[in-house]
Amino acid sequence: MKARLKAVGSRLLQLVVLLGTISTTLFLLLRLSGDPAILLAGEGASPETIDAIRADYGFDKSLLQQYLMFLWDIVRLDFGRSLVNSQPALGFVLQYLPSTLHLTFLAVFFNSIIAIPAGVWLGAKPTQRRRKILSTVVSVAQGTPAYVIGLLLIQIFSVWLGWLPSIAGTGTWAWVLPTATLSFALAPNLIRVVAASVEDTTRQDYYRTAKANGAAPNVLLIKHSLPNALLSTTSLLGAQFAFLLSGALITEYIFAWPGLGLILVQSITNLDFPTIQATVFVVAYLVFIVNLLMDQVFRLADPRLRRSQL
Amino acid sequence: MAALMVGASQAPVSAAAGTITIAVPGLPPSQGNPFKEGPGTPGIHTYAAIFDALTRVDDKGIVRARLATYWKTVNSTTWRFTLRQGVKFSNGEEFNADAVNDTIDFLVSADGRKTVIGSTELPELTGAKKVSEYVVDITTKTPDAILPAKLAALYIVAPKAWKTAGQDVFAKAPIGTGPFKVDSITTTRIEMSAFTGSWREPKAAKLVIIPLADAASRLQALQSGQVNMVAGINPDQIAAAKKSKATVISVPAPQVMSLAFNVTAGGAVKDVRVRQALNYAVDKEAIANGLLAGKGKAATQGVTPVVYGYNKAVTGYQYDPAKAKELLAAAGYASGLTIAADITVGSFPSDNLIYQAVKADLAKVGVTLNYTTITFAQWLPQYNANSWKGEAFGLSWNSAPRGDSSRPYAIFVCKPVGAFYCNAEEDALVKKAATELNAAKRLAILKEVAVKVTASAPALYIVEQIDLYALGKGVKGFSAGNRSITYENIYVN
Repeated sequence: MKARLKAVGSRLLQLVVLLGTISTTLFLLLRLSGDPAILLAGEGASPETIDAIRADYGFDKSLLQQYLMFLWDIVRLDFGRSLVNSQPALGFVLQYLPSTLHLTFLAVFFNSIIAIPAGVWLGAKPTQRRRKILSTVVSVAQGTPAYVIGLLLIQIFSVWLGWLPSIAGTGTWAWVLPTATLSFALAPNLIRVVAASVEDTTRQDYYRTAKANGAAPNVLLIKHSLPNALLSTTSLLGAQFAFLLSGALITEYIFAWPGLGLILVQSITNLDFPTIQATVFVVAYLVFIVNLLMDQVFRLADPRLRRSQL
Repeated sequence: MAALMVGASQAPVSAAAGTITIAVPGLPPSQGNPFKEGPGTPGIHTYAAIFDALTRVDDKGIVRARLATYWKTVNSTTWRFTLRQGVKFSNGEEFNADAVNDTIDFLVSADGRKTVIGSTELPELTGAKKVSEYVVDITTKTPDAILPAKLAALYIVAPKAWKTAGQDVFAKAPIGTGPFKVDSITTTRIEMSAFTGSWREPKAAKLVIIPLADAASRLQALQSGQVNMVAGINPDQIAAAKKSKATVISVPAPQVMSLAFNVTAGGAVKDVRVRQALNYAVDKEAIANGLLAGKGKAATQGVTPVVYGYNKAVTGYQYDPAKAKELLAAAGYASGLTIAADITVGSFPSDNLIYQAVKADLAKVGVTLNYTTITFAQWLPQYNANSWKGEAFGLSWNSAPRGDSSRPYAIFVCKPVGAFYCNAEEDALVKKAATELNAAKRLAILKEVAVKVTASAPALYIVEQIDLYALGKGVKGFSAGNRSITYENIYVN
């Protein structure tokens, strides 16, 4: 129990250090990136106007003063108001979290149910001709950008067949194409990892022993290959999940999907510091949680890790 | 000065019905606060449906009636506006002189001066004074010949709603006198309903505006019937749009794409012969025909024929590479020249390709043009302070929304802060045009400015830009001018 508490304490400390480091780096990078007061004032604004706007947002203070104020604000989870739309930045960002989570969960789910069976099938007998063909297709697909996949899916299912909407918020099925885009964009990588892991297990001693003992092919695959292959698969799925949480920008752009990636890019374009900071903070927090959960999944999946104090 | 026009309101022919969905490149980041956005895109695609200004400028640069029906000067710094009667805001408030007063009071307040409209579009405004229920005097610091045109950039907001909500809350629920009232605003969708009490009563019952930043997905949204119309398609999409039975409409933009020269910093472009040579070296006709599908035109001067002050006698620089080489040699650059330019791309149809075509043409006369592509956030501080490291930078001659050539000339000639080109004689003419209240005399001055500034070539004039719209099947009543869509007339048959 004591060890467990220590582990939790250590994780919390990690979280604080992580968020502190990210926030500080971000604070400095943003201050180097430009002056939002100039953007807010517009083309040809007088220096007096720009100074007045700087004073409004405290950008006229020294960098150290701004930093201390910033730290005090984020400790209270107050990121200030958006410089552009004047809404509280954190609340504004959180409005878009559900749609990001929605897309993330669906994409990871469909990615898994496409990629894991395909990867297992490929990895079980990689030298078989038809599997080699699929392997080539997967390699080509891996090099296809999500942008191209998205436009192709829209062209086929929205423009030619007229079956599915491509714009978010236009009906019950508006999630299908963005989800499919992300799933198809992520699946090739996962298929290759699963296939390689499964293939790798077939060279292990325990696999060969089981095979020599007369285990059926399906038993070999499900009982001996898959559990071991799933470790690296889970690791990649976790990374993909975390990646999607930071926003699937291209997909959000094409489908007008109201997600964090879109918010982040818009706020960067407008040098909307509070919104950028709030978005990055939320994403960092979520990624940390995902990593924590992944660690727990590993502990459950791998008996060797249970002995360590995670 | 005589009043310019009295406009007629659009009478509805039928009760509002149907939904118009339009895909646009972007929504205004400031949402429904019309003072925090510049007067062009992306704000105008949304605000033209919600708000009205006192005036509008038509596609010939003529000032037309909007919420004001008549205007005249009272003295050199005061204009008197007679307002349209019987106009209501979508929350039921009356439009009258108090509403105009309140909007202008805000604009000249400390907060208003921090908005884009207050600080850069109408910094000369000093206040408004109610004369009677429907007459208001608007005053300026110095005599302003084109205040009625400039006021086309100032949307009048519902005074009580503005005061009660404050500008931050108002941005989520904006109230104007336009044909539609806002139901909801998010960063990926604006939904509106017909304001049936509007003096510009719409024919459609609903209007939905969806931002699709990617041009390909905008066209696909139209082809799949998910949107009825698209603002902003690329010239290379025209054939595909027509193939899918869409109607493509090209509207001349009050904008000339150019590369401005940083003349005040010295260097090769300080020599007018070099600037002229660069203008002769570029085949603008070929660019307009090839990259703007023949819809845009080669620029002859800093403004386009839809702008007041355009001088059709000025024919500009016809493509003449031999003459360009001659001028370069005379200026001491017979063996060639290297020029650096900072540009932003993605603002105009085909802009990236156009810049590359310019580079290729200049290479033929021995000029190496090296571009650095930057973001608008990087561009703006350098533009304000004229702190460019190179000899040129991307800057369009934008006459919108006032549709008057004085706007770009005041920027290209002796910009008050951070001037990149200055000529005392031309500056004196531009300033004279700003205060000359006699319309005929003023037009003559503007035409003279066009002659002189074109000869001085403070920029490499490239093309007169265009705005392209695509309409889906059954869309009727579309028109647009000066980037403003006439939303009230649009419906789906």
